[in-house]
Amino acid sequence: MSGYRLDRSDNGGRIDRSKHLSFTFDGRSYSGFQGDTLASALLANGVMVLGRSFKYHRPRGLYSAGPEEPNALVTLRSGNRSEPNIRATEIELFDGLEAKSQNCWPSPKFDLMSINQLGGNALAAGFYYKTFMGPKIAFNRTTEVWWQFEKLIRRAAGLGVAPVEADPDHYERMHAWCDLLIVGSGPAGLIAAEMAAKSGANVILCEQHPLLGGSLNGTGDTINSLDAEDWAKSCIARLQAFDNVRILTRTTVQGYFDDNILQAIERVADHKPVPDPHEPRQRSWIISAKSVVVATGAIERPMVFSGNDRPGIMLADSARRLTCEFDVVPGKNITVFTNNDTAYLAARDIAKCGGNISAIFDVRPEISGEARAVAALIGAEIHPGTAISRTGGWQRLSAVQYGNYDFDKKRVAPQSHRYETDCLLVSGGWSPAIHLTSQFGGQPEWSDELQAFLPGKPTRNWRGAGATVGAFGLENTFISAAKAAEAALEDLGLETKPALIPEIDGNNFNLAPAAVFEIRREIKRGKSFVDLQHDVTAEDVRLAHREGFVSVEHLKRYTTLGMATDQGKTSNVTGLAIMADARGEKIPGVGTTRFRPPYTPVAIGAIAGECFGHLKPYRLTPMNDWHCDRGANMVANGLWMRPECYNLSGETVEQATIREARTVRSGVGLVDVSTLGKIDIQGPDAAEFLNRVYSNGFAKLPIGKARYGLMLREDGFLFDDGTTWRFSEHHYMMTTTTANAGPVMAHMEYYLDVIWPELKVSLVSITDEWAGIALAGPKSRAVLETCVTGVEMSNEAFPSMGVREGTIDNIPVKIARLSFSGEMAFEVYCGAHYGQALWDGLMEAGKPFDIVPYGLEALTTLRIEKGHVAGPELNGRTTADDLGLGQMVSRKKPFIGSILVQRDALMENGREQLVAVKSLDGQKIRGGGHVVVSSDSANPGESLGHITSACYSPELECYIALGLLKNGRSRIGEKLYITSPLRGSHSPVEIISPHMVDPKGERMHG
Amino acid sequence: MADRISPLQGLLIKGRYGKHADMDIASELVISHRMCTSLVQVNAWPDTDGKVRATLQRSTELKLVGGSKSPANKDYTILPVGPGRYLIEAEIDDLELQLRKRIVSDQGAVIGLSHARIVITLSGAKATWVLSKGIAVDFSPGDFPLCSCVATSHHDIGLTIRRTDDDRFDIFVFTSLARSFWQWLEKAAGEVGYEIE
Repeated sequence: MSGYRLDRSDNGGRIDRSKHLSFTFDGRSYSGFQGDTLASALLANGVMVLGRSFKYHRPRGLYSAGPEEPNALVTLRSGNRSEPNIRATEIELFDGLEAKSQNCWPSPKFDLMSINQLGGNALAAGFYYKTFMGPKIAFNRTTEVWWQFEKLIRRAAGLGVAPVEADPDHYERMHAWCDLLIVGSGPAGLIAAEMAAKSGANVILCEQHPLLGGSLNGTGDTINSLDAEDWAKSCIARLQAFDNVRILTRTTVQGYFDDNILQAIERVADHKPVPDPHEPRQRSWIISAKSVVVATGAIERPMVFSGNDRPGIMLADSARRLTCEFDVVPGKNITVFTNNDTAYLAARDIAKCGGNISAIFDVRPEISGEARAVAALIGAEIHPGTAISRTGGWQRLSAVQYGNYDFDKKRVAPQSHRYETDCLLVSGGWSPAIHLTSQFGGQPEWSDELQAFLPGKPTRNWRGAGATVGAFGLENTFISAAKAAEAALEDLGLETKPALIPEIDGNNFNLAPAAVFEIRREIKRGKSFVDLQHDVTAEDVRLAHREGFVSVEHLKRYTTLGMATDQGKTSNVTGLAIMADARGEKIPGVGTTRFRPPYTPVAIGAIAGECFGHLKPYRLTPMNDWHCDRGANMVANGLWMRPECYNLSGETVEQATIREARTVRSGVGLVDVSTLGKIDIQGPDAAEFLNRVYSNGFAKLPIGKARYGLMLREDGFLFDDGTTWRFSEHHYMMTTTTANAGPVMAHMEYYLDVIWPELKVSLVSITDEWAGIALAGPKSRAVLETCVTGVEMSNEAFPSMGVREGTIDNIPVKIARLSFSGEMAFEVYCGAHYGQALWDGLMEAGKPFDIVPYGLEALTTLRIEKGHVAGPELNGRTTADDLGLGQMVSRKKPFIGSILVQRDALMENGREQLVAVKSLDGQKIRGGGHVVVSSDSANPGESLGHITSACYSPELECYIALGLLKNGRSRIGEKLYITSPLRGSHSPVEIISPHMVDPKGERMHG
Repeated sequence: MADRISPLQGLLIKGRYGKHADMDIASELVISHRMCTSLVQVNAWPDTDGKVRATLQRSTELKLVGGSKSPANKDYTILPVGPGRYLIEAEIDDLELQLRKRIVSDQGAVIGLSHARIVITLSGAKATWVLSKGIAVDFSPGDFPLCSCVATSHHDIGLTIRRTDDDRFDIFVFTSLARSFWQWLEKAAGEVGYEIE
């Protein structure tokens, strides 16, 4: 026997029988209807075994109809769109859908790994811990033996397999604000939403399913003399007419965070084969809500008994949903096992639709008249005071054994009776879905009456409604939702009208369950599963207790109870109950773990949203397109993209770099320096401010001059360097290194805002305002002389460190005579939108001088040759003196870092100092390589320092580098070795002065 | 003099894109961009804010009412971007020079930013929807009414946004980050379809 589709002509439920859909499961074709889920369609096709269990590879079938599903996990789609571990109960069927079972080979029906079941207790809780931490036996540790099996075990474990291809779809974020967020559109959510809508509140209503209505869909209850489903439809129609209500279906609220911000995932296109063009597949909503009504309902709990995992056994209310909403009945001869009355309601609705309920086994000896009336109505025999002791069948249920249940002994009697059935519906009570309230710190409270954890007192601005707060039954649900909405709206200062609580028919059932979670037998036989997804049994919980893992946190980690994709939605409370029983305590004494976001698994893509392919945005200079058009390889420098070099045909990066650097030394080159940080500094106290920020003097910098400055941190270490230009009495421009522009700005703003608020100084980043081009080389002045207007370019009129204003091709420019390369050089700045025009103008003016553009690599080569420091040397651990810049640290004035730069640790001998090294064997020097004394590469000995920047020097015609070496300045002339064991290099070098080119600065000043 | 070149030159080409690219229906989102003829930031000192506001009001014939309200007339727009900090956009070339003459360094600082930002304009019924995809600002008319402005960020890109009409927004974007922002915007707008003016 198996599940089947009801033969109804009234097109009941949510399926549309006029629209046939084809799909495949494990390669086999099936058909379903529009509106089906994959689970309902498979069940309708009689597919009972959907996969194999995690550890024991037992056959597993459909267990629920919602997000709590522990068994029916499939891999959806194929290729780069394949997605593992998706719950079949949540997948909306579409034409052409492909799904595959998981954790089995070659098929769910015949799985070779089911051999694991022979392992018995070897795979019980703590298997990994015990296996991989075994004692020493003979000459070997079992640990080491098991390591050999690790790969095999890892391959066997786990569920689905993630695809390795990039996801072709895109995901988005959306920010939303509202007065009231209502989570869940069941009876509680609908009543709360309508009240809020009428009050004028800005409302967002989120529903995880495609249809609004929640438990009202398909139920046999009547509200205001209407079928509950029809009442829900009229309520939804009224809501949809409000302008102030935004309804989001297929949207699961996943997390509740600080400041009443919640995250919801909208599955925009998951119900289609592929998203429409330009459509995101999923959208992550970040909702900032003034108040929240949590109406998330409750999740039905299973009962734990021997063999409770066979395909054909499922939750009672889920069977009701499948039957009433999808016209799919899970079995031909259905039985029910319960400890509460809600299972009778499920049985009633299933029977009403045409299902056959033959027997109800109820652990309670006393059963309410209403429940008995239902059983009589549907023709099901009741077995009061009995429990299922075990089940029969393999790939599907064939029969159950039942016996009398003894509440005192908490055991089922050894004498049992067999009952033939192909489907057993179980109900062990209900666990309110308190995930969201718990995430936000609400301490759950145990209800003895409901045998369930309730949300407890709100810690923030939320209110629970309906089953979430234990208000079961429609009337209670409506009353609690109206109260929640009223209180929330009152907090918002909105007027509310008393809610009209609808009239309910047939609402006198006893919804509190008996306190029975597990059916134990005198003789242990078979496995009783608590957590179906992770194959955790009741015996595993008791084993954890015997081995001392008695706290709820330890229980979870030792047994893996409540882990994996379902996060214990159906197993947490039952597991706690079994542990409480083992400890001889009540359930609240054992406690509960706190739920964490997300409520259901979320695709990584949905979290990343638009932030993929790169971690940060990128910045482009105004000349970026020119660089790209010339074939420059663009490399990241901080957020900026900069040209590495401009390779001619057939040139390597090193060859291009050497050519470009040589041209600068002998002729002229130009480089895009728009990326340098630029900060506008103005104000009556600007000079004083700069004098305090820089370690060298700035108070007397003349107007029209620039000065190189060093900035220290408070602890005396170097922070950044750069030049500052003075335009007028109270107006300066500071340049910083490309990478440090942001930190330098923040550093200075902090001092102005917090330490020196009395200074009248304005700081504004003007990095984007100015395009910057450096012209370097002995012919650089000649190039400018041909194109600059308004500036006298002679050596005397425009000396080194001078700053002038003029025009080039009528473009206003600021020019400073500064050199990073050691050659005569000028930095020319203009408004960024003129940057390309200025670059073109300079290239044109430089043509007669054979000007070349040069990239970051040549820029680095030139500064290394000159011994100028940059980011690799300004590494946060060096002082000015370490880098040979000690003379720039004033002894006469206070400045940031002036006290701590004099501490002993920064003054002592033995500190690493800046030196240069020259290769003696013609081998490349590796950045990061260590300086050692020994020539023995196998035993290089102690590291005396390391290489910070390395290159081939066209000027010296050998490989050179800058490095930091203990007492480096006193070691100049020594022959040492640079070792880089990871790269297999060990080369002799000579320690030389870092000023390798033009040490007297004659070229620069000439 | 050479023409100014926008960082988005060649990217914003007139036409219809995204969802309705090939359909003859009215676009619910129109995107355009401009370079500011003049964009100047004025920073007042804590004890001179009143004087600077008065100077700006006289110079622009606009009334600064406080908060994030950003007044505008046909010649000027003032965006208050922080306490004592104002961005002024104008269709005149020498705004920086004019303001330097009126606001001396004892009163505040005047900084030219005409090349530092470009302005992307979104208009149409879907403008708020698209902006809300990436920007954590409540753009509902109640919280962000006409002439409001806000300094915010999208994916580490600093933005100043001003509501210029019920469904029209000016977004001031850093020049160097304009393309990175545009790449996001065109993808975000694709879902609803858009027209580039």
